Amino acid sequence: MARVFFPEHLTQHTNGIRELDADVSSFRELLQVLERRFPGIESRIVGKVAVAIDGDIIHDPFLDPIASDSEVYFLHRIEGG
Amino acid sequence: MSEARDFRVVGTRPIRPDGVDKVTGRANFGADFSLPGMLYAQVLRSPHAHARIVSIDTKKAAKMPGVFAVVTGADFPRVGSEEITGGEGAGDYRDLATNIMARDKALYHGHAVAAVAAVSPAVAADALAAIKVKYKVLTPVMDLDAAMADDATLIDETLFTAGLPEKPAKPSNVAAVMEMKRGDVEKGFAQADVVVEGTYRTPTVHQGYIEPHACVATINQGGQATVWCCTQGHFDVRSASAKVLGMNVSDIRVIPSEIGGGFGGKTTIYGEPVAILLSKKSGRPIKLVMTRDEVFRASGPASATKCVVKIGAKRDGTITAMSAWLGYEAGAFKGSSMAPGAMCIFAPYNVPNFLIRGHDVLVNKPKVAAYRAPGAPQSMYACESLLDELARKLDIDPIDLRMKNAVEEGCQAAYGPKFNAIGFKQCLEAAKRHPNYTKALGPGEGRGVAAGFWFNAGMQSSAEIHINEDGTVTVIEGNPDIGGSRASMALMAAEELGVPYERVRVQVADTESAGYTNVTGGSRVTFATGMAVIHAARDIIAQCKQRAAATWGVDAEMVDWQDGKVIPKPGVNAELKPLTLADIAKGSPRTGGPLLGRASLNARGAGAGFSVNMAHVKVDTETGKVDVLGFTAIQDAGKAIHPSYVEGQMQGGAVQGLGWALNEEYVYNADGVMQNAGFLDYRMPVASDMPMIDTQIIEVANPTHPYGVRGVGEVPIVAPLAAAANAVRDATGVRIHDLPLSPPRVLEALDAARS
Amino acid sequence: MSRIHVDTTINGVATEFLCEPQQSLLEVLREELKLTGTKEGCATGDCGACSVTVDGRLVCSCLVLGAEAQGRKIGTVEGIADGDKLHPIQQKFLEHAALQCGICTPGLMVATKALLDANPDPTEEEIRYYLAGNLCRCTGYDKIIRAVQDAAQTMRGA
Repeated sequence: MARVFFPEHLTQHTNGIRELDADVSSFRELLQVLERRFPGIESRIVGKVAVAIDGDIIHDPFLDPIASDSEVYFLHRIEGG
Repeated sequence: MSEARDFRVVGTRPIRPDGVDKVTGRANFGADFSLPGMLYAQVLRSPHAHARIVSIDTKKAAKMPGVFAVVTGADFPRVGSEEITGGEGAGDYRDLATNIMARDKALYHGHAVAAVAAVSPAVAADALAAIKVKYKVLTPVMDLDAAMADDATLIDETLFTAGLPEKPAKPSNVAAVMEMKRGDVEKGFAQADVVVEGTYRTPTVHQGYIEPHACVATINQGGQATVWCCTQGHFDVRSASAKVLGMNVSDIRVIPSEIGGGFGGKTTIYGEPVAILLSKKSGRPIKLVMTRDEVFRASGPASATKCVVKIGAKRDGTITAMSAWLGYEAGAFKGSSMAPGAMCIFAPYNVPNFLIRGHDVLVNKPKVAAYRAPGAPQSMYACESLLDELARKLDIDPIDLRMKNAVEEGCQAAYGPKFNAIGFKQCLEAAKRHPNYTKALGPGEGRGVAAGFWFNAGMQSSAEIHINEDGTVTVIEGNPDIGGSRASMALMAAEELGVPYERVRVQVADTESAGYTNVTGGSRVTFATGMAVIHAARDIIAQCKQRAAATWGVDAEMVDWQDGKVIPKPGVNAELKPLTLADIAKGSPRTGGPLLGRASLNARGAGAGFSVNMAHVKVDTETGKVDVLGFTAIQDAGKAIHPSYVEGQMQGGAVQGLGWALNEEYVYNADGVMQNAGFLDYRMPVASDMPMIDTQIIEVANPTHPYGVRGVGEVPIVAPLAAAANAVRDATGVRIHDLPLSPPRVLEALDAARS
Repeated sequence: MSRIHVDTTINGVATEFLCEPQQSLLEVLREELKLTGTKEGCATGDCGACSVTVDGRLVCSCLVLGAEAQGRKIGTVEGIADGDKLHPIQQKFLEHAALQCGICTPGLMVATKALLDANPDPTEEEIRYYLAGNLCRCTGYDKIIRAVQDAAQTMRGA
């Protein structure tokens, strides 16, 4: 099971849950799982936050694979200057 | 995946392909372009920091001879609230449109309220003088404390603080709050043997690019616009202009000029939509260039901040807890760099318990824009200064203190994910070993150390490679070249294709000629666009193998690519002579057509960057002047494609950071008007202020880039602020918390300490 | 407003132009003569991006009126290379990577040439103080100083 972590501002949409396990093999599947569990959260994620899968930060993830021992962190999008 | 290998050209220091035009004055920057029939535009700006715009009368100006168009906010379409899909502090399209031209309120001194297009700058200036604006002046809110006070004047009465569990009952100047936590800070502080605390302030500063914003825009009667402008991201100029003007993206072509500095300040737009609209109204091309005064008053400086930090540690230096209260000024619209500031502040360290609270706050100053590692210099200035105090209190060497708590691969970052391969400890070790660390100090001299960090970005890049008939190579990419990136792209393409560097040319193409590419910024170009160039080169190689195999009448698996040639595999007909890129290009019409390689990607896995800086200063206790006698910048670059340009980033960022620490600040009067909007009094470092900047490049390969590249452009500005402040503390025995450490402030602090 | 007719010499070439009384030499070079190598960074004489020489003297062209060019010899960045050969100063700046964005580079070419014409063997301190009027925000000045030192050595034939 992949472990998924939410930053504080997203916990407002996960009933305070800060981390959970998800049996998924791609980010697309993870989005579906999260939206089913916390309706409305998808619109807070897509285009709004970035994701780190096993330490690699990705803007606009979707097809990216998630392994059974992956760690997935949502974080603020950082573009830089 | 990156492969350890001996590089042929990567890592050497050839002359950049665009260099000759830059030393001869041929290179064309934003204001160097002209079109026949072109008119000159100028912008009328609010003389008040905060005012309601009651009326604007442009009739007299519009009728003046030589004036061809006048626009105000009313001429722009209404733009709905829509978050800009960008990075931190990107904000909202409606705010962007309102910043470009005020609607009902002027929100800072210099806010654009109208614009004219005329036959000459002199006539345009006369036209501006003929525009009558009636204002109702309101109380300006000019700093964090004033903005956050209970009885503060509200800048936007429709703004309710975001990020709270429930929408507040009353509007506020606090646009957003953010919290990050781990463990239990109270327990963590209770476990500490020593607790230190400090409040640190940094002023509003500007990126200070020498080239003012400039564009030439023209739109035809069919609604198709062409914009020539200096920018870090011409695709963003296109999309933002399309949003602001309600146009199709495909109806705007943006051609990037050479850019005279950006550092984040040119990742947004100011004059381009104004110029397009003036062109529409006048039927003529429009040139719109900011004066230096306008750049200071009306582009996007970096947030002034207040950071309150607390650190608890055991006697042996192990950190048990850290906490931070961060207030960042966003300027007239929401969206400062508070979030990355919060994410970076403790990033170099393993902190079992922490609590960070950040606030994004409106003030009547220009809307802030990105400035090199946006948010990190300010927050890390506070933490790195306080760590220096902790080191003194514990009597532990400041590098050893950091080493004891340093993150490495596998550690969990304060902002969440585990680090992959990083080089922080290697930088610390290099600093400890560096001769500058133990150099003898004379009277009045001091040395300070600090660490720096930045995430570095990936994001989208496209690249195309054309093999010309003579086997020379043209690389087409979409990143304006600020720091020598064309040289790095050429090196990577030459390396991959096995051709001499001199036979590769790199073109920065416009929005209709290059594939979509994100900004030049975020330390991403060598990483992400470099990756695209390498993949496009590999695409060419695959095609070459196919073409050669077809030429020889063998299967594609029977051939190999080696040293820039296709050769038959061992065992296949040994009489077949290797085919070079030039051979295959020459035969390409017969084997399938032109040789075109392409790649487009959304790069992931940008490697985090760390640095350690050392400042050596001398403080004159009679004048308060701080002289920088030496500076050492040590940074992990992953793999330095062109070491001279990596060193250039380290040195340039160091000097910007030193300017921020020692003398740069926006000075305001009581009415909210900037008093030092010029290079004389907004005093950036000049050649006589600085010593040679010693650099040491550490290379801990980033596994996600084929050559191990890690972004380098932004990290360099982060550590110098605290390195300088810690050096001043070392030299004088006095800790000064508020930047800049300019002579009057240093003198005041020294006098206060003496009494 | 009637324009002023000016006869001058630019980079050794006899040149005439019309300008308004208030136009600076910088504006004239860029807008009237389309010699855009000289850059505007501030228009108040504080950044040196507009550096030119007037009768051999290094000045900020934003602080000189176009009309003042009458009868004088103006030197701009466009006149530094020798036909199709780069000047040693230009060559050394390229070799030392002493430029990044390049906006300050034309001014530095002119200022460096003026320095080395006057003082062929400057110390590091002399170089830094002479070039203090040329702001660079990208390089931190280190490689610029090294390039100037190397150019000076080359020009001395040392």
